[in-house]
Amino acid sequence: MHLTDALAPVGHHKLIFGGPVGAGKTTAIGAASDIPPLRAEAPILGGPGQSKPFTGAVLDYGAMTLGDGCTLHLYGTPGRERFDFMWELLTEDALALILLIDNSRPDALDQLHFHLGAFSRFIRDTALSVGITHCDLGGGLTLDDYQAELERAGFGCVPVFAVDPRCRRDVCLLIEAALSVLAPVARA
Amino acid sequence: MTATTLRLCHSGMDNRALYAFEIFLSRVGPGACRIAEEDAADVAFIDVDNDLGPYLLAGHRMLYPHRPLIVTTQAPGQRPDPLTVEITKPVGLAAFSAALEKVRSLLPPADTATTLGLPDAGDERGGTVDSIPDEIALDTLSGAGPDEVALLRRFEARMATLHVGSLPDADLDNPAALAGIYYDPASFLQGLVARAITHAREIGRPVRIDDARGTALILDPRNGQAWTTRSPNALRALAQLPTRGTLAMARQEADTPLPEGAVARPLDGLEWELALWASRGRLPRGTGLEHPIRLKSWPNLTRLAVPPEAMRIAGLWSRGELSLRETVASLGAPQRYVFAFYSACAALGHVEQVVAPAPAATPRSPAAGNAGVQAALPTRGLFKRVFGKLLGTRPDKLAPD
Ligand SMILES: Nc1nc2c(ncn2[C@@H]2O[C@H](COP(=O)(O)OP(=O)(O)OP(=O)(O)O)[C@@H](O)[C@H]2O)c(=O)[nH]1
Ligand SMILES: [Mg+2]
Repeated sequence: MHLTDALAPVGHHKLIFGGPVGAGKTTAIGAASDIPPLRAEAPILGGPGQSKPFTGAVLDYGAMTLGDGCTLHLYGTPGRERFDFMWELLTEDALALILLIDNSRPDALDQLHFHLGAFSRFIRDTALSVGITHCDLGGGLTLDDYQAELERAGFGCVPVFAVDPRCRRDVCLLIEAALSVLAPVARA
Repeated sequence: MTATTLRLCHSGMDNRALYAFEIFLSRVGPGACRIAEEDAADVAFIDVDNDLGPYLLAGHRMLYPHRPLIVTTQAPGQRPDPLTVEITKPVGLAAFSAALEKVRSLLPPADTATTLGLPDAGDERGGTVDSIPDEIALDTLSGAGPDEVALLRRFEARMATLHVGSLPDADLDNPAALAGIYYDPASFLQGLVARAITHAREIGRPVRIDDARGTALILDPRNGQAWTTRSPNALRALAQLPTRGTLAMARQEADTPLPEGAVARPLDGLEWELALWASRGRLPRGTGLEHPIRLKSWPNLTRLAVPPEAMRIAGLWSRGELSLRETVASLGAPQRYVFAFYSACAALGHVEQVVAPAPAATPRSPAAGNAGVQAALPTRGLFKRVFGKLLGTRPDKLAPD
């Protein structure tokens, strides 16, 4: 399967995973996806202090086939800010943004703030849930701190969960939260 | 009827007692009975002489009204109901085998060995989760087949019942019926733990909660940890019934070691579950049905037990202020789902009631502003299907009991 094929069936059931470099987007999509996740990576050498050898304009794609055969397409945005021109493109027709923030980074709140700004138009039109990752590695912030930042930025009461992107259950709950903000009354 | 292997659960046994009990069972005879999880048992075995015994007995009866019980006691003659079989201690092999035979005669004539426990609550064609009573007569059970997802759904449905009880919907316009939808958190372990946490904050030290058996809980709000010495079942039994003065709190001194076998867990997860167990689908006394609810923050549902419909309820509250009555009506969910979730959220401070009576709901969330997008959404049924995916996880990844 080629990336272009994957991008073709974009419909309403499309979710965007956003967040800074290393937050866990690729991992989360891999955990939730039923198909082997697709990645298109253009290697770029990481700068000093980068824990990963390279990080590039990576687009992640995964898909969850739901009970009746309908598909949730999961797209991961490239973490690097210089690829943010792609974010706009990717969010077209999408249902919601799943924003992952790495709690072990000292600038986690700034990262949240930056991504809320970058995706603000999309979020205001759709829905948002926030997954705080790397909680197992410590970090000084609590979920309340992130919630307060969301309130300050004018996004109100948003689902903010501690999430391990390697855990399928966590990722599914985060997706479910975004969908339930979108249309809580819809039910099977 | 062929002698099937009875699935027997033991409530409130510690590891040592369990070890001895397993050796005992191995001598009862091959295939007579085996130890099973509480949720999937045909019969429960309870020692009523133990301090927790009466709680376990009452709690078990409440949760499994149709399940036979074998109780052991030094003072027989208390036989509380026709489904309870007493054995006088010390328990001998012959008496125990006779009790098993008696239990078999009490079970409805069904092939208990091959049944799985509950109808498939997630089955889109069939019953709903809310139609599942606490315990099903065994003859209504049907095999689940090899479908792991179906099995896990049953499991989740069962867990859901544990979290929200089985209270039927009350007529909210009938003042007499309203009494039944409230409980007083202060009369339950939930209230005592809340008071203990406040006290611990004031004195800057952990506080413990003791009953006649010793220390049940140690609470330390400084690091957000609780330690418990009780099994999940024993703790639930303790939390579901009014404490009636049987529990006391005390300051945990710095030089007092943790009780043997104490297991740590996050304090907020404990408070959340104690509230669900005490609530069993009811509301804290004094909660208004007509006052709008404000969701101040979402509970951390990846790390808390998720009661049924929690996501949809929180989703609804995050979009605008609705009263409890309106919430029930909007979701078309059983009252107990909404009430239990509200009770747990209230215990952790995630919700508050706005004092003014509810005007027409005002959307607050950004998502609510875009009616066009919403109308076009193919989300009907999406939740249930994502939920179905969730159930594709391994059982050990499911929400803790
Ligand atoms: N310990 C721990 N490791 C995590 C967690 N989440 C992600 N990781 C790890 O962090 C690393 C980066 O995760 P990725 O999924 O590649 O992050 P990404 O958001 O896709 O990063 P970019 O594509 O570079 O923007 C991987 O090695 C993950 O296994 C977490 O919660 N805890
Ligand atoms: Mg990536």
